[in-house]
Amino acid sequence: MPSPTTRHSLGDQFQGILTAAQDGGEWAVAILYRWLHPAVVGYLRARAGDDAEDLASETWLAVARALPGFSGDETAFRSWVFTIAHRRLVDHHRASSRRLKTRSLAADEGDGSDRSESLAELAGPDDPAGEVVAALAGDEAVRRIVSLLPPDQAEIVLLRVVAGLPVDEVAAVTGRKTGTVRVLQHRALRRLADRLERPAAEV
Amino acid sequence: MNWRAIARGMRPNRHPLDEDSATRMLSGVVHPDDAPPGYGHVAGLLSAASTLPGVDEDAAGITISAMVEAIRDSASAPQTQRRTSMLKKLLAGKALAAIGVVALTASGAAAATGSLPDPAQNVVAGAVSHVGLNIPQPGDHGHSAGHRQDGVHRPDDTTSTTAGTDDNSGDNHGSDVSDAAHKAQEGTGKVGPVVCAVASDGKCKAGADHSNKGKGGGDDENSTTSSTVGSGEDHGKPSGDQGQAGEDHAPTTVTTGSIVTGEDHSGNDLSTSDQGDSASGGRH
Repeated sequence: MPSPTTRHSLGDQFQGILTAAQDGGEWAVAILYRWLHPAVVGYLRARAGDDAEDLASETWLAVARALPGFSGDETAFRSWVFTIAHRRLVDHHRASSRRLKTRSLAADEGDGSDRSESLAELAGPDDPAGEVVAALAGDEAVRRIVSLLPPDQAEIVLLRVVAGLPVDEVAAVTGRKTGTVRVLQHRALRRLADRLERPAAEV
Repeated sequence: MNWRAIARGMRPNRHPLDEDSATRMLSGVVHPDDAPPGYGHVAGLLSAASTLPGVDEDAAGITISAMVEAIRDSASAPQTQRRTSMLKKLLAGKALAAIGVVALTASGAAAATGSLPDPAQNVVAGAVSHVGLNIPQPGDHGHSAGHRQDGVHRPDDTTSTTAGTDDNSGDNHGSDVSDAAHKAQEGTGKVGPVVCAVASDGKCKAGADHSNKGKGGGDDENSTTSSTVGSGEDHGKPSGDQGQAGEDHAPTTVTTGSIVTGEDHSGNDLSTSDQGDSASGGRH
């Protein structure tokens, strides 16, 4: 069942929940976890595949260890959690580089053409591809984005769409300049438009 | 019509994507029908991607419990770390102070006794000389002439204060004895008593002993050199023979007497005169 909580804002309740979580309140920790965990897993799954759940658990444990020292608002907290997830992902790539060769984004991109082709096959003359795309599950849509975009553009789009981070927070997480993030996301959207609207034979 | 125009004509009908439209699509809230021309599929894909699956409750329970435990552990950790850090700092400071005192004391004692290696000793001596302290320089190991700390005797290092004086007196004395021996040899032939008397500045009573005590002196021929010298007429000949040889040994035999030897190291000095009287006298 889709969880709408990821994009919801905790609003004024955030500081109270954060303080309670920093004191070890289990209920507050549970709220924070349920709030962001689907986005964290979605972001990680696009890059780490089946290891996403394990990486998400490591991310949350790292968050918990550093939580008593955190200070900031809701946006800062979200950005902080995804920064930790991003670092876990980088460590994961370094540690299992050999294994990732078989699961690399390049391989995923290779699969991407096949998926686009299958997408075109699913879309009949009276069934526009856009409707098929819209009907995809969230997880499958994330995989499709990763398969159609270069790694740097895919990462930007996922952090914007899945994690719900603004441009400046994406820049902070990825270590890029804000302008670079804007350029990358613009190129990503144009590339997606080209790939999705192009006839399957040309993809 | 150039190739750019041809390419534009072949593209789908797509408007330039402005910043606001891009932001709205990336937020996943734009329906495909509401998307800018040519971006309907993109909007649908992004909207689908923004819809995430729910939380696995089993995994959530385990992870949340672990998080709570980690939070409580990390919340109690800083105080312990702070205490440990303070204890380490305190102990480290004391240990460093003790090591410094020991090192300073040891090096100071070594410098004072001149036991440091020469370069270090030189540096320390130079440094403390500015504050009025005087410690040995390298190679300045006290006034023990000819003796180093390593126990090696240096024969050429003759700093004995008595040597020069005695040498001077020895020169004259040896010459006098030698002259007396020659004169006695040429005259009476009784070299021994004459040499003994001269050598001892008249203290030697060799002839008188022989005439007075007679046998007693003769019985003691195995005892000492002075007895031999004072053995009188019986031993005068051998003594005179030595005087002959005297040219080699007479002065040696005579001046080996305890009197001269007691004053200085003439015994050793005269032993070199075995090679000849003249040489003996000249060397002294």
